Amino acid sequence: MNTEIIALFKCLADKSRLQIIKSLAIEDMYVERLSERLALSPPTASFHLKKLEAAGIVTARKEQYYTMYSLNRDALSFIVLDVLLAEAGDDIENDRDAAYRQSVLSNFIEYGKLKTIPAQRKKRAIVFEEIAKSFEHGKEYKEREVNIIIADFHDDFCTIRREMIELKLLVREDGVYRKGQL
Amino acid sequence: MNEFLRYLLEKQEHCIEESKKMTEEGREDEAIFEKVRANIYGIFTTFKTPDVAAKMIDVIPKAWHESLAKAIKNNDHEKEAEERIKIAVMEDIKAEFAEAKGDM
Repeated sequence: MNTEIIALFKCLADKSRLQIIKSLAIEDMYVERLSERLALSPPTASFHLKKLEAAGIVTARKEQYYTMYSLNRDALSFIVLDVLLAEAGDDIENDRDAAYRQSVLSNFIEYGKLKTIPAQRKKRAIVFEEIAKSFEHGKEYKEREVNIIIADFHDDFCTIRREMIELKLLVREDGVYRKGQL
Repeated sequence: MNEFLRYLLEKQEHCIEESKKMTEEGREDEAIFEKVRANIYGIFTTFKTPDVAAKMIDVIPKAWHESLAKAIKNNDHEKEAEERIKIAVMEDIKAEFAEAKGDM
Protein backbone atom coordinates (compact mmCIF):
# COMPACT_ATOMS: atom_id res chain seq x y z
CA MET A 1 0.00 0.00 0.00
CA ASN A 2 1.15 3.51 -0.72
CA THR A 3 3.54 4.74 1.99
CA GLU A 4 2.03 8.23 1.86
CA ILE A 5 -1.44 6.86 2.62
CA ILE A 6 -0.07 4.95 5.62
CA ALA A 7 1.66 8.11 6.88
CA LEU A 8 -1.58 9.99 6.44
CA PHE A 9 -3.58 7.47 8.41
CA LYS A 10 -0.93 7.49 11.13
CA CYS A 11 -1.47 11.24 11.29
CA LEU A 12 -5.21 10.72 11.59
CA ALA A 13 -4.90 7.95 14.19
CA ASP A 14 -4.70 10.31 17.13
CA LYS A 15 -7.57 11.31 19.39
CA SER A 16 -6.53 14.95 19.73
CA ARG A 17 -6.14 15.36 15.99
CA LEU A 18 -9.53 13.75 15.36
CA GLN A 19 -11.05 16.18 17.86
CA ILE A 20 -9.40 19.05 16.01
CA ILE A 21 -10.84 17.79 12.72
CA LYS A 22 -14.31 17.53 14.29
CA SER A 23 -14.04 21.09 15.59
CA LEU A 24 -12.84 22.42 12.25
CA ALA A 25 -15.69 20.60 10.52
CA ILE A 26 -18.04 22.93 12.41
CA GLU A 27 -16.13 26.17 11.85
CA ASP A 28 -12.70 27.58 11.05
CA MET A 29 -10.66 28.32 14.14
CA TYR A 30 -7.38 29.75 15.33
CA VAL A 31 -4.96 27.95 17.67
CA GLU A 32 -5.99 29.61 20.94
CA ARG A 33 -9.69 28.96 20.37
CA LEU A 34 -9.04 25.33 19.51
CA SER A 35 -6.76 24.79 22.48
CA GLU A 36 -9.38 26.28 24.79
CA ARG A 37 -12.16 24.18 23.34
CA LEU A 38 -10.19 20.93 23.45
CA ALA A 39 -8.30 21.58 26.71
CA LEU A 40 -4.92 21.30 24.98
CA SER A 41 -2.03 23.67 25.60
CA PRO A 42 -1.58 26.13 22.67
CA PRO A 43 1.84 24.62 21.72
CA THR A 44 0.27 21.14 21.64
CA ALA A 45 -2.68 22.33 19.55
CA SER A 46 -0.27 24.12 17.26
CA PHE A 47 1.86 20.99 16.92
CA HIS A 48 -1.17 18.89 15.90
CA LEU A 49 -2.36 21.56 13.44
CA LYS A 50 1.06 21.70 11.78
CA LYS A 51 1.02 17.92 11.44
CA LEU A 52 -2.46 17.99 9.92
CA GLU A 53 -1.39 20.81 7.63
CA ALA A 54 1.66 18.84 6.45
CA ALA A 55 -0.66 15.92 5.66
CA GLY A 56 -2.90 18.25 3.66
CA ILE A 57 -5.89 17.74 5.94
CA VAL A 58 -6.09 21.34 7.10
CA THR A 59 -5.06 24.63 5.55
CA ALA A 60 -3.87 27.79 7.29
CA ARG A 61 -4.45 31.42 6.38
CA LYS A 62 -3.45 34.68 8.06
CA GLU A 63 -6.28 36.80 9.41
CA GLN A 64 -5.14 39.98 11.13
CA TYR A 65 -3.18 38.76 14.16
CA TYR A 66 -4.25 35.15 13.95
CA THR A 67 -3.55 32.13 11.82
CA MET A 68 -6.91 30.67 10.95
CA TYR A 69 -7.19 26.94 10.26
CA SER A 70 -9.79 25.28 8.01
CA LEU A 71 -10.57 21.72 7.15
CA ASN A 72 -9.52 20.71 3.65
CA ARG A 73 -12.70 18.79 2.82
CA ASP A 74 -11.65 18.04 -0.76
CA ALA A 75 -8.41 16.44 0.39
CA LEU A 76 -10.24 14.26 2.90
CA SER A 77 -12.63 12.99 0.21
CA PHE A 78 -9.71 12.20 -2.08
CA ILE A 79 -7.90 10.34 0.69
CA VAL A 80 -10.78 7.91 1.11
CA LEU A 81 -10.96 7.46 -2.64
CA ASP A 82 -7.20 6.84 -2.83
CA VAL A 83 -7.44 4.12 -0.22
CA LEU A 84 -10.36 2.45 -1.96
CA LEU A 85 -8.50 2.44 -5.25
CA ALA A 86 -5.14 1.34 -3.82
CA GLU A 87 -4.17 -2.24 -4.60
CA ALA A 88 -3.89 -3.64 -1.10
CA GLY A 89 -0.88 -5.85 -0.33
CA ASP A 90 0.41 -5.55 -3.88
CA ASP A 91 4.05 -5.54 -2.98
CA ILE A 92 4.86 -6.35 0.62
CA GLU A 93 8.55 -6.93 -0.07
CA ASN A 94 8.92 -3.54 -1.76
CA ASP A 95 7.16 -1.90 1.16
CA ARG A 96 9.52 -3.58 3.64
CA ASP A 97 12.53 -2.58 1.59
CA ALA A 98 11.28 1.00 1.36
CA ALA A 99 10.68 1.10 5.11
CA TYR A 100 14.21 -0.22 5.79
CA ARG A 101 15.75 2.32 3.42
CA GLN A 102 13.75 5.09 5.03
CA SER A 103 14.87 4.08 8.51
CA VAL A 104 18.54 3.99 7.42
CA LEU A 105 18.21 7.40 5.76
CA SER A 106 16.55 8.99 8.75
CA ASN A 107 19.19 7.52 11.07
CA PHE A 108 22.11 8.80 9.05
CA ILE A 109 20.86 11.89 7.23
CA GLU A 110 19.55 14.85 9.18
CA TYR A 111 18.28 17.92 7.36
CA GLY A 112 20.17 16.92 4.22
CA LYS A 113 23.50 16.33 6.00
CA LEU A 114 25.13 12.95 6.49
CA LYS A 115 25.77 12.65 10.24
CA THR A 116 28.34 9.83 9.91
CA ILE A 117 29.35 7.43 7.18
CA PRO A 118 27.65 4.10 8.04
CA ALA A 119 30.00 1.26 8.94
CA GLN A 120 27.83 -1.43 7.32
CA ARG A 121 28.27 -1.78 3.58
CA LYS A 122 24.54 -2.24 2.94
CA LYS A 123 23.70 0.96 4.81
CA ARG A 124 26.51 2.85 3.12
CA ALA A 125 25.09 1.84 -0.27
CA ILE A 126 21.65 3.17 0.69
CA VAL A 127 23.10 6.46 1.88
CA PHE A 128 25.31 6.87 -1.18
CA GLU A 129 22.37 6.07 -3.48
CA GLU A 130 20.59 8.98 -1.83
CA ILE A 131 23.59 11.23 -2.47
CA ALA A 132 23.66 10.01 -6.09
CA LYS A 133 20.19 11.55 -6.55
CA SER A 134 21.91 14.95 -6.54
CA PHE A 135 23.62 14.06 -9.83
CA GLU A 136 21.87 14.38 -13.17
CA HIS A 137 21.81 11.51 -15.66
CA GLY A 138 23.89 12.15 -18.77
CA LYS A 139 25.60 15.23 -17.36
CA GLU A 140 29.40 15.39 -17.19
CA TYR A 141 31.00 16.57 -13.95
CA LYS A 142 34.55 17.66 -13.19
CA GLU A 143 36.06 16.16 -10.04
CA ARG A 144 35.75 19.52 -8.29
CA GLU A 145 32.02 19.65 -9.05
CA VAL A 146 31.58 16.11 -7.75
CA ASN A 147 33.42 17.03 -4.57
CA ILE A 148 31.25 20.11 -4.03
CA ILE A 149 28.04 18.11 -4.43
CA ILE A 150 29.22 15.41 -2.03
CA ALA A 151 30.60 17.96 0.44
CA ASP A 152 27.05 19.29 0.78
CA PHE A 153 26.33 16.01 2.56
CA HIS A 154 29.63 15.25 4.32
CA ASP A 155 33.14 16.70 4.61
CA ASP A 156 34.86 13.42 3.71
CA PHE A 157 34.01 13.73 0.02
CA CYS A 158 37.09 11.77 -1.12
CA THR A 159 36.04 8.56 0.66
CA ILE A 160 32.45 8.92 -0.48
CA ARG A 161 33.42 9.70 -4.08
CA ARG A 162 35.67 6.62 -4.24
CA GLU A 163 32.97 4.36 -2.82
CA MET A 164 30.35 5.78 -5.14
CA ILE A 165 32.59 4.78 -8.04
CA GLU A 166 33.05 1.29 -6.57
CA LEU A 167 29.29 0.98 -6.25
CA LYS A 168 28.94 2.22 -9.84
CA LEU A 169 26.77 5.09 -8.68
CA LEU A 170 29.32 7.30 -10.40
CA VAL A 171 31.42 6.44 -13.44
CA ARG A 172 34.82 8.04 -14.08
CA GLU A 173 36.25 8.15 -17.60
CA ASP A 174 39.18 10.31 -18.69
CA GLY A 175 38.91 12.42 -15.56
CA VAL A 176 35.22 13.12 -16.19
CA TYR A 177 32.45 11.83 -13.95
CA ARG A 178 28.94 10.77 -14.89
CA LYS A 179 26.07 9.35 -12.90
CA GLY A 180 26.01 5.55 -13.13
CA GLN A 181 23.14 3.70 -14.72
CA LEU A 182 22.24 1.68 -11.59
CA MET B 1 18.43 18.67 48.45
CA ASN B 2 16.24 15.73 49.39
CA GLU B 3 13.28 17.98 48.72
CA PHE B 4 14.62 18.64 45.20
CA LEU B 5 15.08 14.92 44.55
CA ARG B 6 11.56 14.23 45.81
CA TYR B 7 10.23 16.91 43.49
CA LEU B 8 12.04 15.36 40.51
CA LEU B 9 10.79 11.86 41.30
CA GLU B 10 7.22 13.09 41.74
CA LYS B 11 7.32 14.97 38.46
CA GLN B 12 8.83 11.98 36.69
CA GLU B 13 6.18 9.68 38.09
CA HIS B 14 3.41 12.11 37.13
CA CYS B 15 4.68 12.34 33.53
CA ILE B 16 4.90 8.55 33.25
CA GLU B 17 1.31 8.24 34.49
CA GLU B 18 0.13 10.93 32.07
CA SER B 19 1.95 9.18 29.24
CA LYS B 20 0.20 5.88 30.01
CA LYS B 21 -3.15 7.64 30.18
CA MET B 22 -2.59 9.35 26.86
CA THR B 23 -1.55 6.13 25.17
CA GLU B 24 -4.76 4.51 26.38
CA GLU B 25 -6.72 7.48 25.05
CA GLY B 26 -5.07 7.16 21.63
CA ARG B 27 -3.03 10.37 21.94
CA GLU B 28 0.27 8.83 20.96
CA ASP B 29 2.27 11.97 20.15
CA GLU B 30 1.32 13.62 23.43
CA ALA B 31 2.19 10.38 25.23
CA ILE B 32 5.66 10.55 23.68
CA PHE B 33 6.01 14.17 24.80
CA GLU B 34 5.19 13.11 28.37
CA LYS B 35 7.84 10.39 28.14
CA VAL B 36 10.34 13.02 27.00
CA ARG B 37 9.41 15.14 30.05
CA ALA B 38 9.76 12.12 32.34
CA ASN B 39 13.22 11.38 30.91
CA ILE B 40 14.49 14.87 31.59
CA TYR B 41 13.31 14.78 35.20
CA GLY B 42 14.83 11.30 35.41
CA ILE B 43 18.24 12.49 34.22
CA PHE B 44 18.49 14.89 37.14
CA THR B 45 17.69 12.23 39.70
CA THR B 46 20.94 10.51 38.74
CA PHE B 47 23.29 13.36 39.64
CA LYS B 48 24.97 12.55 42.90
CA THR B 49 25.86 16.02 44.14
CA PRO B 50 24.28 19.49 43.87
CA ASP B 51 27.46 20.75 42.17
CA VAL B 52 27.12 18.26 39.33
CA ALA B 53 23.40 19.09 38.96
CA ALA B 54 24.17 22.85 38.91
CA LYS B 55 26.78 22.38 36.19
CA MET B 56 24.53 20.16 34.09
CA ILE B 57 21.63 22.62 34.24
CA ASP B 58 23.69 24.94 32.06
CA VAL B 59 25.53 22.36 29.97
CA ILE B 60 22.75 20.01 28.89
CA PRO B 61 20.32 22.46 27.22
CA LYS B 62 22.96 23.94 24.90
CA ALA B 63 22.59 21.07 22.45
CA TRP B 64 18.79 21.33 22.67
CA HIS B 65 18.85 25.00 21.73
CA GLU B 66 21.06 24.19 18.74
CA SER B 67 18.77 21.33 17.76
CA LEU B 68 15.70 23.58 18.14
CA ALA B 69 17.21 26.21 15.83
CA LYS B 70 17.96 23.49 13.26
CA ALA B 71 14.43 22.07 13.53
CA ILE B 72 12.82 25.49 13.04
CA LYS B 73 15.06 26.20 10.07
CA ASN B 74 14.10 22.88 8.49
CA ASN B 75 10.38 23.01 9.33
CA ASP B 76 10.72 19.86 11.42
CA HIS B 77 7.65 20.38 13.62
CA GLU B 78 8.01 17.15 15.57
CA LYS B 79 11.60 17.83 16.55
CA GLU B 80 10.75 21.47 17.27
CA ALA B 81 7.97 20.47 19.68
CA GLU B 82 10.25 17.93 21.37
CA GLU B 83 13.12 20.39 21.85
CA ARG B 84 10.74 23.06 23.17
CA ILE B 85 9.39 20.57 25.72
CA LYS B 86 12.89 19.63 26.86
CA ILE B 87 13.88 23.28 27.26
CA ALA B 88 10.66 24.10 29.16
CA VAL B 89 11.22 21.17 31.55
CA MET B 90 14.78 22.33 32.09
CA GLU B 91 13.53 25.82 32.96
CA ASP B 92 11.18 24.24 35.47
CA ILE B 93 14.02 22.18 36.97
CA LYS B 94 16.26 25.25 37.06
CA ALA B 95 13.68 27.26 39.03
CA GLU B 96 13.09 24.41 41.47
CA PHE B 97 16.83 23.85 41.89
CA ALA B 98 17.40 27.54 42.65
CA GLU B 99 14.68 27.35 45.30
CA ALA B 100 16.13 24.13 46.77
CA LYS B 101 19.60 25.68 46.87
CA GLY B 102 18.21 28.60 48.82
CA ASP B 103 16.80 26.19 51.37
CA MET B 104 20.04 24.24 51.78
